[in-house]
Amino acid sequence: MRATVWSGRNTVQVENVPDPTILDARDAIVRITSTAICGSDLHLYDGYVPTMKRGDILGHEFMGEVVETGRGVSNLEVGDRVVVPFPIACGNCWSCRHELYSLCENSNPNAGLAEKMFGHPTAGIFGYSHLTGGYAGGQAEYARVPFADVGPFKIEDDLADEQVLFLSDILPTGYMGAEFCEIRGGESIAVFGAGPVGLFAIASAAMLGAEQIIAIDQYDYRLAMARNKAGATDVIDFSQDADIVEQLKVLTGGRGPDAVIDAVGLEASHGHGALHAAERLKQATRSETERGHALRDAILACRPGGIVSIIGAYGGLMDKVPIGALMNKGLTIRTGQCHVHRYLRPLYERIRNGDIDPSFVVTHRLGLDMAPDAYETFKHKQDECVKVVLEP
Amino acid sequence: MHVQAAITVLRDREEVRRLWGDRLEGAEVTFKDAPGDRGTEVHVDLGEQARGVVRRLGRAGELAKVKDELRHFKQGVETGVIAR
Repeated sequence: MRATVWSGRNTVQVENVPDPTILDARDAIVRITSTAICGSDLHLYDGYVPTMKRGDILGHEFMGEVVETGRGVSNLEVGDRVVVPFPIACGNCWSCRHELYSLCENSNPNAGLAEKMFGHPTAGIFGYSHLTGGYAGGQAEYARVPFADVGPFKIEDDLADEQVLFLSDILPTGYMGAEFCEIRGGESIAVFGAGPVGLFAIASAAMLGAEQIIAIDQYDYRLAMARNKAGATDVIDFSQDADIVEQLKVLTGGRGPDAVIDAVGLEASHGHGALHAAERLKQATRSETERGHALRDAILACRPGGIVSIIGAYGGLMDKVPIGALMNKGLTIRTGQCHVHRYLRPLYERIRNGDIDPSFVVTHRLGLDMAPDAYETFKHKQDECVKVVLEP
Repeated sequence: MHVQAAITVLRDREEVRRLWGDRLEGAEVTFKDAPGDRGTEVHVDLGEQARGVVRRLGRAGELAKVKDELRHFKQGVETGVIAR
């Protein structure tokens, strides 16, 4: 089959690789009809996530048709159309039974490696380094899906792929980020990053009843999408004014947002060139693995007693976290890889009800063989790229 | 100081003890109920920490293998498969 493989920093290739096969009774094989490039795939592409190996198949956002099932999978049949959640969850462990699916205790074959990095292992993830299991990803013609009796979600109506594909990751991730903010109606919510996850966090905050939603980014086309499609009431373009904290205070009458969502993660940019250059240098010399501008500003801007919701992907160590502000303002941090399985049914219903049409983020539709170009376009924000969908 | 490892398996103590069988012969293995209905804790004691860097490294490798064995046991019991 054809698959998008990681070939080193800033390089992916589409190659012929062996077809996946059933390895365990609870596996299924899915023929992929649509797959997407995630912002977090760029962390792999850019070489910031350790334990990648040449030839690793990328991709954790995918859907398709079941073509084979193991003998332990009774809930799926050949021909079923499914969306596959990016975390791999066994459904049996204490974490899965408490709907903490991205913390599954049994799905990461490289748990020892993850334990060294994080203190405890976390769940396996498709196509996201050997730290999360080394599973082959879904930017390919086929994928092996472990624990297929738990993860794949059947799509039983005629919604287009683009309307349901993002249930695999970015829609529930954005929604969870908004849900963390404990929105009851009338809140001011700031969202750092107007990429696809940030856009869905904005849309989710709007669905949950936030009154003021402030989108923060440096690209005008993304801010326009945040305002016109996702439901942001205000925008901050930090390429024009780097002092985001002061702008947020002014926009909220001096209070600061009730909650701030970091939908940026480890490759944050900053409008102040010198600060950004200093962090790039530390990252390049591996003296720090994360660029922390967004999280620092989120902590500084959040109103006292508020919530900082972190859904942008981080992987290692960050310098100069303003712990004094965090403690003295009594902030609550809520974070995690998304427990996608928990949100599949309710968000699917919202799509069916017309509360949200997630396809608004799609700007580029390409064949799988165009993946190398798509990564470059997405990375460099060329051609007003927000979200790329690949069709194998 | 002893070299120790532990894991919690979401099954009752009798079942875990029975399924454990004679794994890790030579190590001291004990079972106890986890708090809050969280199953059974399996504790493995590999004995005294070794003296000297080389011996300590050897012990670290041994501990890593024991942890893998514990994880595989938990996976097998809880899910019926070993993740791969």
